[in-house]
Amino acid sequence: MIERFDDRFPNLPNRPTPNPIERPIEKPIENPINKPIERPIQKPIEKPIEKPIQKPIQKPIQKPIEKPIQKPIEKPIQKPIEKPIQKPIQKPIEKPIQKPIENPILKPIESPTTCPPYTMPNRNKPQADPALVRIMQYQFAIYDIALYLDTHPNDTRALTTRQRLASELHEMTMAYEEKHGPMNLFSHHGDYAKYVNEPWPWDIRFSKEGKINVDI
Amino acid sequence: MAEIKDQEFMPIVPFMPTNPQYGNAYVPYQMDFDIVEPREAMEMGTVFPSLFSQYEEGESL
Repeated sequence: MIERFDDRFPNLPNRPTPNPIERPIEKPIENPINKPIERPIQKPIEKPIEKPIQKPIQKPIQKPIEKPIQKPIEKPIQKPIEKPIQKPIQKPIEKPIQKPIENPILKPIESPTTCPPYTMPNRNKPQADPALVRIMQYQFAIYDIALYLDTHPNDTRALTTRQRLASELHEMTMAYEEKHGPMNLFSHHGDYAKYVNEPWPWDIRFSKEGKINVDI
Repeated sequence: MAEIKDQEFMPIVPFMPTNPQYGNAYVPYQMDFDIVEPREAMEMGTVFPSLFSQYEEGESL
């Protein structure tokens, strides 16, 4: 049984009935039979006036008058007169008058005694360790195996391999940090001040064979 | 450390769906675990040689 809207809500006032569609008033169709037949007015055909054909007047061919060829008069070649080279007169260079610079500050500024002058660290001879490339290779291999373990968490082959590579990487990292300071900010191994003397990462150029060239 | 054989690995997902449908694309599940040394992996871009493929001109023709 279909439940109607009025049955569910009987207390609601009656909705207004929809207005009939207001159609535009259609024009009465004219009966074509009542219309007088309009016959086309037959105009007289205007014949084109026949003009007499004018024959082209044959003009006499005018032959060109043959003028005698005038030979150009050969003028004698005038040699250019060699003018003496005029050397430019060397004007004496007027030196600007050096005015004495008036220094408004009479007394020199006294440097503060509390702040020592900053000296740049000695970075003339940076040495990049080729062990850095070896560490990067191990880090990449471990990262790739970690991605494999995301989809294969129960693969014991990957787990043992990752453990072996990570332990080898740890030894290499310890040896590197002992030499050149900590590798990142969170490392507690090595001297933190050593990294200032190391070449910056953008100064190191890594080749395909694992060699390191410092570009300074 | 004892070596683990490939036969002992039980994947959690089959290699392909048991009832593959026509017109659908599937990625086969990786079953083998053959890895290379880290030095070669850095040049290849992956540890797994089975995933390594060099695109050459006119390869798919």
